[in-house]
Amino acid sequence: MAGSLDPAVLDRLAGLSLVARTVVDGYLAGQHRSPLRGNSAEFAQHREYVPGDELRRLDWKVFARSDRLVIKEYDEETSLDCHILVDGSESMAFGSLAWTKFEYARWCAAALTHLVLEARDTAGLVLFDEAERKKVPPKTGAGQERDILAALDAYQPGGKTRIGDVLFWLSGRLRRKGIVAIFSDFFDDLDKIVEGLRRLSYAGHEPILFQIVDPLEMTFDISYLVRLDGLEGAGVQKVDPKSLRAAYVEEFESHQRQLATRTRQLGLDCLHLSTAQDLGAALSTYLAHRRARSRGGRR
Amino acid sequence: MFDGFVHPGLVIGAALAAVPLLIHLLNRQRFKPLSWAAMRFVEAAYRKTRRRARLENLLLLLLRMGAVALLALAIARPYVGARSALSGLTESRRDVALILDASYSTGWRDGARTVFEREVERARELLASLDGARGDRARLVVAARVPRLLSWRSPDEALDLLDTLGAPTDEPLDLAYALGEVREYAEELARGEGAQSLEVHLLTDLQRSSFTPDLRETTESVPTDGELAAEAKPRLFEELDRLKELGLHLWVHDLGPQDPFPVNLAISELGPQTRVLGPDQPVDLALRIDNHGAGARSGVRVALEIDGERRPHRLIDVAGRGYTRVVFSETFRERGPHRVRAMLESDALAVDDSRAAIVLVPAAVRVLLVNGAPSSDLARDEIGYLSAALDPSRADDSGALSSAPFEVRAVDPARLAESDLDLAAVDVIWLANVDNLLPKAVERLEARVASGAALIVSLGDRADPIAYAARLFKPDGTGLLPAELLTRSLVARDERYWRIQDFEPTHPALAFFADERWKPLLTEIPFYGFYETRPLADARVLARFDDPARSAALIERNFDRGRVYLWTSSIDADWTRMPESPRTLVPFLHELVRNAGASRESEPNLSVGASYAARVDSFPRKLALLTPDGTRRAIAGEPAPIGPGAWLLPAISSTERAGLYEIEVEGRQNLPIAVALDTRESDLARMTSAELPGLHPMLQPSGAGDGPRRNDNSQNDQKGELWRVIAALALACVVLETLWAAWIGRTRSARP
Repeated sequence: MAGSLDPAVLDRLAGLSLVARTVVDGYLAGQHRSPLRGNSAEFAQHREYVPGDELRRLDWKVFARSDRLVIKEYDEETSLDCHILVDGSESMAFGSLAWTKFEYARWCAAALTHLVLEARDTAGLVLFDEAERKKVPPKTGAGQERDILAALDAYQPGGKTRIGDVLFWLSGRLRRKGIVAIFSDFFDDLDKIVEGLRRLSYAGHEPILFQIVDPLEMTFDISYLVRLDGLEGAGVQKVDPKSLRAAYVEEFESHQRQLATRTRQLGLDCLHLSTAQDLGAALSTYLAHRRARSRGGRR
Repeated sequence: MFDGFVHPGLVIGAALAAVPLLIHLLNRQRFKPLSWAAMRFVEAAYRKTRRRARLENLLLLLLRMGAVALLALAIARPYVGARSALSGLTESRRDVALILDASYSTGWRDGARTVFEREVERARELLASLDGARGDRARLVVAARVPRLLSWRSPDEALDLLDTLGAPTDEPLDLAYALGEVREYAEELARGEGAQSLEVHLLTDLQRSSFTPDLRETTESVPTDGELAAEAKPRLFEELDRLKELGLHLWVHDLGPQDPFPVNLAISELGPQTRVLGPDQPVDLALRIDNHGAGARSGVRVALEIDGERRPHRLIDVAGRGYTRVVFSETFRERGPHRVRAMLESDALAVDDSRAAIVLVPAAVRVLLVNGAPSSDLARDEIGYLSAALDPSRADDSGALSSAPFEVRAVDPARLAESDLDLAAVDVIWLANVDNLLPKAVERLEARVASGAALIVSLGDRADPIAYAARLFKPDGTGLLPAELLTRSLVARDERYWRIQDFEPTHPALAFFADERWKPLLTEIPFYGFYETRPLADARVLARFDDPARSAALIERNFDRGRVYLWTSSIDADWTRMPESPRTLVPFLHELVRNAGASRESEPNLSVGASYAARVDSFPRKLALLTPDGTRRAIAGEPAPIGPGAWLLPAISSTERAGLYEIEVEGRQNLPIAVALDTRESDLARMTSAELPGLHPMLQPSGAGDGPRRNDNSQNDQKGELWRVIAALALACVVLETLWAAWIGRTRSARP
């Protein structure tokens, strides 16, 4: 099947595995070169051919020009660990479209898992709410993908959000340093979130924040009187959205700005994703971080 | 805050101000549930905006409720008094009721103008001070015998109507009736804003009789109708009391003459002093002239006009506050109505200086005597004395023309059944001692009596009770006789006799004998025979004998449009000595027959405002009424048949002017009617303004030259309405609400 990054298309797909492949294929179809070809290594230098070198490494263009036999030498990349953290709290169960934030996060996580494992990196999964709920330790291989996707498939969001505490706790539990892709709405105490991120960074990980929000949560564009039943036991509020909208949006955007600012201050990336937009940005962000890391630095 | 409301019942509409609140509260129930994740932002925003949103919504709600409440209040039209702090915001619309005294006394001319003209001018001044644009209203009442409401809306309309008032009426003033009209209007207002806002102005000549009808000061007291006097005073004061209860003030504008006893002569009576028996009989026509002035008048010229012909005038003297009677002796040659007019030399009040009357000279009563016991001997003949008394010329061979008011004809009973005997040409049929009648005769008699003729039945030795019971008497009253004949009582002359013991002295047929001088002529006459009878329930016994049973002597009963008299005795000398007493027989027979045959024509002498329906003996075509001023008016309505050859014309009620009217009927002579004033209004004795409050506290004098005057108290009591201000506030609320709601909507809809 043709690849697609459109969430509306993905919603109609049955099976997370199919979703993952569809997303990745759709993403790759838009790339000039596969980020997954070869050893994922970059050209480093030429050297003289000595007998025993692989003929396929000969640079024939140089030979054509200079009658010199030289081979290409590449930087060797090490295998990366990607820890995929998916917020499975009740707040992620909200969705004004046909899919919830959690389903969107799940698609992103599945696609990322597929992408990571295709690149022969290791991928691991942690599903959490106020604590770790499900963990798939990082591994490679097709079997790992099945395990991760199965864990994602089986999970039902619920429970309260305590991201900061979970990140803090995970910082001491994730042994292998790598990229930590966190898929959440980050509707939690910013100080705790930042503290958790700081701990992860100090632990040598490279957290990437993927904030997933629903379009309605962003705009609060409700035209009728509404009784908001807060998820995660947040209470009930009867509001006239029209009278509240401006202030709500201001609060929401302020939270987002603060989240971006404070994560930036930590040198971290925070990508704001709407469940209405395609998944390509998520994959691009991950791949950029991977490339940077493979060169020994951070993005 | 408010002293009251014009429409207090509408104040309940202010409760509708709760509608916006209810809508607001109901809307609060219509919240749709929605699970929400980002509650932290909602709560933060809510905390930030709660206060402001509440204030915005509260203000909006208050503006909506205020608009509804103020609108309801404006419609209810609240008012406040002059002392209220809000009085400066009020508009004091004026409601004015003007009562114009249009009784004929206001036709008194003083110089160039009459009192009525001065009243109209004063009314114009009062109306000119009103402002229709402000909502001032005027109610114009022209007061006379019956008040007429001319205008009840705008002052301009009232001013236009004033222009149509040229002269007063010919009627007296019923002030209580006029005040009642105003009182009803005031009560109507009292249900709303309160009648205190109504100004009542009475423009009058302050005639004493209008305010105190039982205090007329005349040396010869006019026959006072005690009931009328007793009724009039309470009525007037009752109306004044009710006006007082409504909190009104009545300003009385005195526009009458200066003199408290203005000079005025009036002809108060005109008519025959004695009964008009017939043509060629002298008739005394009497006039009464009243002098309502204080001083005597001498050498006053009085003239009489009969059928358009002037008679020589007389000069009379009349004492101050007194009256004089003048008698003109006249002989009418022709039967029928005669037009009589009496005239005085004119004074300041001309309308009562002339008076008209119709003198009816009756036609001869046509009598048919049915002789039940004829005889060549006049004394033995049953109708001998009868016809001699009724028509002396028949028994008189002198050939002299009879001046008796009867045309007498005699027949025998059998003739009654013959169709060639025209009973329609007979007014009275006298069955004298008739033993029996053929059925055909009875039938013809019944038809003629039913159509308006009279039947007199006198009994005697030939009357057969059985035959009478069979043909003439019916117990259910459908027969001619008013009583059933029972037994005959007959005594010898030397044995004893009966007399008439009592009789109806007021009945026209017997009124002659009511005079003590003539009474014995009837009550002393011996009777030797009579029939005991059993009168029907609706029969009237006019005279009784002095027998133990007090048997009826003369019985009367209506039979359809006619009348039947039963004389239970006889005119026969064997039964009574009445024939031997011409002084009894002649007046008895004349009065009985005249009354029986009296014309049923309506009395053609009326008072102003009375209605009249004439009777004619042929179908009337092309009816018209000629009024005293020469105007010809059509008579509306259809004539009604009232019997064979008799028609009742449509009633005429437009007799608002005194004088001679003529009813014109095509193909016959005009029928005249005379309409006369009620001359109690001619006494112009006046009250003074100072007396008014003493008479009743409601009556407040208003001096000449005053405009729309009010005293201090009334100024303070005046109410002013606030509805315009309140309506403006309501409108302001609506506008503010609209603008505020639009602003809120805009600010809330703007995308951040």
